[in-house]
Amino acid sequence: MSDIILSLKQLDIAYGDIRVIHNFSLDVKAGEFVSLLGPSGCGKTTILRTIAGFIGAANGSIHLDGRDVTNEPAERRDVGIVFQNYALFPTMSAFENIAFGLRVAKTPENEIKARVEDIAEASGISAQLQKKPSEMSGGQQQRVAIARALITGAKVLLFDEPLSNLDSKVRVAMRREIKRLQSEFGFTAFFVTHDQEEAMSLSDRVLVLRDGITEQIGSGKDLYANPANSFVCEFIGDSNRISHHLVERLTGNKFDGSVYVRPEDISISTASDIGEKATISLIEHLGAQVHLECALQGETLHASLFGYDLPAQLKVGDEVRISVRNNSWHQFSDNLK
Amino acid sequence: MTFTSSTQNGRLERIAFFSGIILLLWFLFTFLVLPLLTTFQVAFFSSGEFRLAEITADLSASSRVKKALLNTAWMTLATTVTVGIVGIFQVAVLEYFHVKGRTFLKVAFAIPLVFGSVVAATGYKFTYGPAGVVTQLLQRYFPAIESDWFIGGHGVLYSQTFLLTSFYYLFLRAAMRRVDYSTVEAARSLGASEFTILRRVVLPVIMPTLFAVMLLTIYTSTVSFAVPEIIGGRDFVMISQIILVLNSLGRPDMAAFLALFLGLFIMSMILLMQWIEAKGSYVGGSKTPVPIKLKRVKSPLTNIVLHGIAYLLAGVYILPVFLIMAFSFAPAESIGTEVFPSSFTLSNYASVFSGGTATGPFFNSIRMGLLAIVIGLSATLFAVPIMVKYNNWLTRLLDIGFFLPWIVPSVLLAIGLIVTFDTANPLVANQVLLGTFLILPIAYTIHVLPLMVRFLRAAFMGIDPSLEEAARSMGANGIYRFRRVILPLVIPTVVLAAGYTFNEILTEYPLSAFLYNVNNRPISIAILDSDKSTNLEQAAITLVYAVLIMAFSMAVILFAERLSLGKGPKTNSL
Repeated sequence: MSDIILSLKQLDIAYGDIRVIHNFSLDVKAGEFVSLLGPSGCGKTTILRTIAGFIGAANGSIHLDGRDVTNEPAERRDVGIVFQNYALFPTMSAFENIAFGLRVAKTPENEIKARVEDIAEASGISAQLQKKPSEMSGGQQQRVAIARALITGAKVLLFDEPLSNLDSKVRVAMRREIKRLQSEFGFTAFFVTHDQEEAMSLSDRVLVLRDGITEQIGSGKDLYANPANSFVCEFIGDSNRISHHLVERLTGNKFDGSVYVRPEDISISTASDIGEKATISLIEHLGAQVHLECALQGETLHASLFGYDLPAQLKVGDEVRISVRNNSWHQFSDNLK
Repeated sequence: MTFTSSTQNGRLERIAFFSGIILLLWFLFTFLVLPLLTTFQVAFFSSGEFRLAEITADLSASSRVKKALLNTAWMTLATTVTVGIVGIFQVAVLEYFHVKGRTFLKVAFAIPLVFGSVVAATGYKFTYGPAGVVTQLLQRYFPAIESDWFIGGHGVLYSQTFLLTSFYYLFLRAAMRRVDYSTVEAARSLGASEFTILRRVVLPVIMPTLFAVMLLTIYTSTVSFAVPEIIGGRDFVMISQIILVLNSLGRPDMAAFLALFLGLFIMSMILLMQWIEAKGSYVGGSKTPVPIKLKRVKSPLTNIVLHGIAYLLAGVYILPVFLIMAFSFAPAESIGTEVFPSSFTLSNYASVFSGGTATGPFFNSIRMGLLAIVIGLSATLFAVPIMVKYNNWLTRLLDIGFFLPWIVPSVLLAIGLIVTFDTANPLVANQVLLGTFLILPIAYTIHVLPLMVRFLRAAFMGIDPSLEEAARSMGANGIYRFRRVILPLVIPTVVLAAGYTFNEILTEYPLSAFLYNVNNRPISIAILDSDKSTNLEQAAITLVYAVLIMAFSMAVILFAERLSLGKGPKTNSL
């Protein structure tokens, strides 16, 4: 038996006459954590809402656990959803929110109580069960939302940018919490986000989406180290797009198409005369790292280095030598506008 | 949850949905659209012939009709000016100038919110009329003054001046609060005088609202019915009254024509008001607007005059309410004989609460009000979620249907219901509804539908759609989602809408005057009749009714404030 739990085949999704998703296919394995990453408006939430059953597919099919659910209404799909704003029912306590799906399924009262208490304990919200959503913190609400989505036994959980309403520290904590809950409950996660750090830290695989089309799918490390095209290279992490003239002088090689170099692959030297002359136009101290902006031959290059690698006396206006680490450049035949 | 049961649920939901739509369309067509069409027919056609020339000739030949039109025109113009002066003064006192005792003044100026329509008209007559306290006092010092000095057009103008300021109190005050004080300070720092600031900075922000409330005043004054009926006397008659007279004199065609004429005028006023509202919506660019700071009047003399007028105005508002409350606890004999009760009793309240024939109209109004609310809420709770969720021909049709009663004056609706249901009608199982108990609750329902839709639309639009999606994703069907998720969220608004509409129905006069009969005589008609009768016991009971209606209105308003503003801060600078 196949271990594919969610299968999207050649999906087309349209709003009226406007087709926003074209021929989208994806197979997700049971227990896998897949993130859909892309800029605002690229169609990632549309895909999630189509899987959930809130939007109909114009073409293609959706299979959940082997069952074709393409034309099933949302209430019969058996997927859990964690919304961006949590969507906790404000008139109900945390207990009632979590128990909602069980009550819909007419589960006996004693079983509801036991299951809600169990999942609340695993999610670390036992003390919050009698509270209304307005009495809980963002992180606690998030846990209730996940528990509510999990309790009915849904094998696939859809996360619609669930961390975007949290402040940065809680976001990191909740990121780890989601990962912990996933390994504890073993659910399959389909996670939509525009935050690449979030996607890369959580996911087994990340799918990069642009204008409804898959640009690349792979592990976070793979996307960063081996971007498939200019878009992925620019979208994942920072990069310098360098002119042919300059890159040839810096590397000694001939190039076609577009060439990118990551900031951390640019070396700065004050002592040697290797590389091209450049002038420092900006120094930004970002804690452990330092970001430099260097002007050379009418272009600006961004470099990133650890604070302790920065020559002590370096200041804006100083002349330095710049070089590119061997074979660190990314060359693409496409030409991103 | 099984697949089959879900399918059955879906089928049941669809059947319920289409049955509800058919029922709703039948209700709106039968009791709103058909009456309007019939009014057109009655007004312009007789035995299949177009009779516009004949009816206009009859109307222009009637001196009473011409006088009523003239009275309505001058009263409306005069009321707009006097209400404007008093209303703007109130807003200035409460929101612009530093006046001592603002909390007290705020309560006093809010009185028209709970003291309106037939109750207020009776209250003003009770205070200034032939047996009124003010008349008795005046006659003590000026014996030449006639006891009916207050009755007539001037009395109507005086009463309306203080009864119609609630629009200014509610809307113009809110507009003043939208003025970003930092813009006033910016103008001041650029050397602008106080007058320039008021004219160039403050006034443009509040001007659209000022226009809108003036149009509301014109609208309300044009269809004024209870006040001229009670205070106008025999010689001062307005258009709504003459329509009632024409109908009772057996000229429904003339009544229908005048009602349509009135309806056309009112519709144009409302459309103009909506256009101004839409055009004049100013959204400040400031992310943190600064609330306006009250201005201290530097000249001591001006300050004394300002305080004097403000407190005099408060006295005018409080006096009728105070007297009604005081005399409701007084023996019936003291009404019309004492300036202030010399003794107090609970017997009037005991009479009301112990039942008896005198309380029939009160309970009629309660029964009809409850019936109208149940029908109205059932219709709107069913329709509004559909209207919010979908945008198609059906929802647009429902939108128009629910909006129509707002722009159709009550007098026109009443005439329409009379001319439609004075004979057996197949749409209501060949029944003659006129003269039955049901005709009035049906009219009340139509009358309150726009208010209910406005309340519920706001409530439903405020619901985060992801809540329903979350419930769907957990397997809940439509009815379950509505019952468990949506309804608990809108219940406070439903209660509020019910309270407001019940309050509206308790004091409703125009529809009641046209449609009441021996089976359903409501409290507003009883209040008006008791005002005309010499039975002191009845007059005392009427005062109790007035107090109960005011108390109920106050409870509704306090609940609304709590609902919209929450518990609020512990101390209030107001």
